Amino acid sequence: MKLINPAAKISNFIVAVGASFLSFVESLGAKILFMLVAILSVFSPPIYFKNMWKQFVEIAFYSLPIVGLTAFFTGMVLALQSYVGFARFSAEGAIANVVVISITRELGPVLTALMVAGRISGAMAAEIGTMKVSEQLDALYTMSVNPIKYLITPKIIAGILALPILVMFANIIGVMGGWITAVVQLDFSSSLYLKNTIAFVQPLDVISGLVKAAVFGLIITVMGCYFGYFSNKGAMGVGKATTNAVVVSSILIFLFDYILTVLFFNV
Amino acid sequence: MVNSAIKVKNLSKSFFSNNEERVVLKNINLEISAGESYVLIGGSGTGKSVLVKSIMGIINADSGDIFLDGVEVSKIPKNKRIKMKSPIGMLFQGGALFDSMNVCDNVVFGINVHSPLSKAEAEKIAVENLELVGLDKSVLSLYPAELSGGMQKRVAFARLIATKPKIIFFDEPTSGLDPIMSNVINDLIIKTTKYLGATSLTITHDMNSARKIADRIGMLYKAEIVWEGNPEDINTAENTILHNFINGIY
Repeated sequence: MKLINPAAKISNFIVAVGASFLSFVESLGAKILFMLVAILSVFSPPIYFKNMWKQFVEIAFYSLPIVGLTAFFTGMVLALQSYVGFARFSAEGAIANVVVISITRELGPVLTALMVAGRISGAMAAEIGTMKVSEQLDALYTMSVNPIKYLITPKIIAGILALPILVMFANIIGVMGGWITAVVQLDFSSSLYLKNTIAFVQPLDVISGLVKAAVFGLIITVMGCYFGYFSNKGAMGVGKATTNAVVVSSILIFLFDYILTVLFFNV
Repeated sequence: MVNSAIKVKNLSKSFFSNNEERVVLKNINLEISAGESYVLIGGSGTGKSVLVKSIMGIINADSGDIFLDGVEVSKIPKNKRIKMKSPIGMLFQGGALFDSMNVCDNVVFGINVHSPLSKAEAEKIAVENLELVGLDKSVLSLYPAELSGGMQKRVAFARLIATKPKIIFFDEPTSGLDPIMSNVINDLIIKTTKYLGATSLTITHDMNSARKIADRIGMLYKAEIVWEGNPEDINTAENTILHNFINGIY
């Protein structure tokens, strides 16, 4: 029987942990560098406004139905769940407050970002990955067009600008969903519900949600573009890039949601 | 004395995978005169595409000097080189047409992206260049996915000609095409380089194509150019590697 030296076992474990850590730092650095290069490109000509507008329409306008639907049902379910829960200590009256604060601070930005990540991040990775595989990125280069400036920068800027608008829309629709449920199903007074909603919500609730949205827009587009740009050749490479873009951006959305909540509310 | 349009001195490039070095190009020296059509032949994976992409600046070479039209481009950083008015053009193996754009936008892209054209101007330029490659305006509104492989290559040709490059790289121009379409493409290469007065470097393993379009042929094997000569010398050359390659002996 072969005996394993415990010291060697520990040493191997430390080496493996060290290698994983280095690989993580390297990958993080590559993503940050990629993001900086893409964002800084916007400060030097040429700036492709037409591409930016096209991306903005793709992200903001075409995401409206799915974001609206998600926010509407979330608002409705939130009102119902709060009613059932709060009824246990006779605090049903606080539904309006709970719905508006949950939607504006958390659910609006996070759910919007997750829906957009599923719709946009994967699509961006697939588009750029396919362009790489079919040498379209090289073709841009031969025509003196910087692929990062032409393709990536407009997507990132559009993402940063589009997400806050989508979140604002999701906030309104989400609150409406709660209001409809409260009034139609739970027999609340419509005017009282709206009065409570407006009276309770603070500017910081909305602003923190919008700032989160801009950060999520950055994450979604950077991850989509990064994984597409560095995808391996072949259909498998592009498929993997698409999955990675959605998975990593979703995880980062949760991570940054926590960090930004701590920063905004000093908790 | 004829000036060199493309000059490569001691160009080397290696790739690393799993800590193992794979030498793809080893001290390559190449000089192509202005107006000359040079064809580089060699088996798959011998580094032909890496050589062309290194010359174009898409891939960074490990060492060596590259001169295009007398300018030492290998000393210019990639981000500065991309901003320069490029004298080069390339026909990619699969055409590399932008699949989000129709044929018209593809053909005028190289001009339109730097100085936007009106719709009428764009169409006029696109039609002129499409006619040169034997296509008419009926294809203007089609998207690359709606075209056959041969048509895609011809549209890519039209896009290439539109920017009027002085140095052209052709990457496997006849791969995946039937013999008739291959011949059409070979004729187009001869016609377009003559029309533009351009220098060309073609990489291929299609010997019919090489014989037809080349003024001079080079053979790349195991990271080195092992033979250079005129197309008419190729059958009489005393080089076993070349002989085996053109006769398919392995």
